[in-house]
Formats: sequence, structure tokens, C-alpha cells
Amino acid sequence: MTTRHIDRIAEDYLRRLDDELGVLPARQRREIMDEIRDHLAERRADIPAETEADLRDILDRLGDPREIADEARRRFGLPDATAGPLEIAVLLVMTAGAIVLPWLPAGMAIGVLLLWRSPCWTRRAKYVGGYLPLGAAIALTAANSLLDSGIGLSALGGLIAGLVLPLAGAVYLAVRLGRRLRPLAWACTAAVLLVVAVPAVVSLVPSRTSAFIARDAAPRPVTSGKTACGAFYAAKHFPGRGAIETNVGICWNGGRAWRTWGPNCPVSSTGLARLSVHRCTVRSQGSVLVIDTDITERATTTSAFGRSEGYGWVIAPDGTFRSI
Amino acid sequence: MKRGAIEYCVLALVERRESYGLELVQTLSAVDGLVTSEGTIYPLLSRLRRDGAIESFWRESDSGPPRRYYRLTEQGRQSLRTFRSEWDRFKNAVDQLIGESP
Repeated sequence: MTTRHIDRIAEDYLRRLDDELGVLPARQRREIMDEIRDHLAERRADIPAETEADLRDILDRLGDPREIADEARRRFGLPDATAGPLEIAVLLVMTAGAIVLPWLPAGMAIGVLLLWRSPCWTRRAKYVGGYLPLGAAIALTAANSLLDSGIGLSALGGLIAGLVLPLAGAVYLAVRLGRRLRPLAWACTAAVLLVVAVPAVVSLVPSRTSAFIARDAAPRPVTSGKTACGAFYAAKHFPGRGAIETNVGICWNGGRAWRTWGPNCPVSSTGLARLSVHRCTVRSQGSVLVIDTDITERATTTSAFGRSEGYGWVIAPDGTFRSI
Repeated sequence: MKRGAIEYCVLALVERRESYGLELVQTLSAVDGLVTSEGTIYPLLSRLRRDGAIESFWRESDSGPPRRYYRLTEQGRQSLRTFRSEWDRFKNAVDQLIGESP
């Protein structure tokens, strides 16, 4: 029905105006909204058979919500809404935090704290881009550490909380800032992202590593016939972020290696790694056995403080395999 | 310059007669080139209220719900007086310097 369609246009306008005026103190915002609502109602009532064109005319003369909000901002001495260092900081902290700590919404929390202080976003934008996603991320992280359910689910939850929500929020806020974010600011943001993101992506690529069986701690290597069993540490190195290591139990009969993966899988600094030894070749080099392994990372359920995952095989001191 | 002057135009209108928002908007819009969009008057009214230059009250209207009317306060009267003398001096000075167009 045409009347309801027209009413919806009017409501839309008022809603946008209320949103834009969100930067004002509550009392002033209410006053202005009430007055403009009355203005609109009275103007519309003057027209006996109102058409959509009539309403749009009235709204045009009233002015764009953003213009009215800018005027209000000026009248009340609130800072101009062009994006400055604070706004750039919000976007950068949220994005960098998401990339550096993809399982924990810490960067997002700091970013949202800064967001609260910024005059450049409307109330609603702050909720959609900041407060709500942060709330969801915190809830997810809490649920994650409490439930600690199956591997895939928990890791996915961690990624959503620490990576997806902050990035989505930052993108939304950046878009809402739109024309108020000067090109230079965009360039700076992009540059920092590149500097942070590229190493982060590169470091996720699996790499080969090698280890010496002589370096094992326990269990001790035993020989049974021609088979030598032992444990060794395999390590995967992340550029600039240290290494994660895992215990690998292995038996070598002089020609063929039984591969296993170790009972202890310490979690890396990214909180995302569990090492799996997929393939290894064994060769002797002097008095030691050298095992070349192909190690890849997989998402893990454990928290950042490390916890043992019991699965795989253990080599007992008497040389027998025991599954965990 | 315009933004500063409009404030006092509103005070002067309210001094002349107690008015409600839409009335003021209509009067101001009728003057050529004074107001770009009608909606911008309302933040001004809100600011003047907060500053105490005008105060509002409700009055019944025969054609619908009650309206919010504005009247000048003593403080508003005072500041309007000050502005009037300043504006006079300013106007004369500028006229003198600019002079008649050749």
C-alpha cells in the first residue's frame, strides 16, 4: 500500500538521522529528534493527499541527516568527523591483532576500547562493527576454553573469534568511515597490513626439518634384533617466532622406518600448531641416525599454555610399541 | 559569518514573538540565502536552549498535538543587545571600506 511505503520512507529518514546524531549527548539528540519529528508530522499533515514525491520534497528541504548531524557537531563544539590518528589506530589494532593472534581477540578488545572514544562513528556503527563482534568473540573464546570439544570445532571457534570477527568488524568500520578516511590513511593502513600479513602467511607454510636421534630424552633407544627404536625431537621453525617441537617415536630396522607421531605436542606461539610427522626417511651418519621428516601443522584444540595430547604410540623401555 | 549571525536572527525572531520550531524555520527560509537546509535550525535551537538564551514551553494548538514554543530569556535579551551594537559597528565599518560598487 502506498501510504505504508511513504511512512516507511519517513521512518527510514528519522532512523538515519537518529543514527547520525548518535555522536551528540543523549538529551540534545532527543530534543532535536523530537523537534524534527514534529516538523515532519506537521508538514505532512498540511498536504491533503500526500504522494511520495511530496514527502521526498519535504525531506529534501529538511536536509541530509549527515548535514544536520555535522551542523549539530559544530554547534556543540564536538570535534570534526574527519578520521585522525585515533581512527587509524582502531582499524590497525583490530586488524594487526587478528593477524598476529588469530585465536585470541586481544587486538580487537584494545581496538574497541579506542573505538569507544572516537567521534567519527555513529553509535550504531560502533555496535555493529565493534561492541557486538567483540562480545561474540569473547563468548566464543570462553566457550572454547570451557568446553574444549572436538578438534575441528574448537579450532574453528578460535579462528572465528580471533580472526574472522575482528577482521569483519574492522572492514565494516573502515567502510562506514568511507569518505572521511583520507587516502593517506588508507595507504598507511594497507602498508602496515602488508608488513604484518605477509610474514604471517609465509610462516604458515609447512617446512622440512631434520632431527638427530641422538638428541632424544626419553624413552631411551633400544635395539631389538636389527630394529632400533628411539625417540627424537622434531622441530618446525617459524621465521621470527621460534620453533615448536614434538616428540617422535620411531623404529628403524635398517631399511624401513615405522613412522609415528609423538605423545607430546607442544603448542606453538600461534596456538594453532600440532605437528604431524607424515613421512620420514632415516639414514645413518656416522654413529647417529638422521631422520628427515616432513612435518605439517594442523589446528589444535589445546590452549596457548600447552597441554599434552595423548594419542599415537609410545616406545616402552623394553622396546615394545604401546598405543596410547 | 553567516553561522554566527543566524543565531542572533533566531533570537531576534523569538524576541519579536514567541514561536515554535517550524514557524522559525519558515521565516528564516523565506529570507533569501540564509538557510541551506531546514533541519540545521534545530541543532541551533537545541544549542541556544542549552546555553540558556531561549527557553521552551508547551502550548496547545487547535490543529493537532501541543507544540514546543520558544521565548527569549533575560540572558538571551542581553546577548542580543550586545550583538546589535557590535553588528552596527561591523556593518558600518565594512560598508565604509567596501564602499559603493564602481
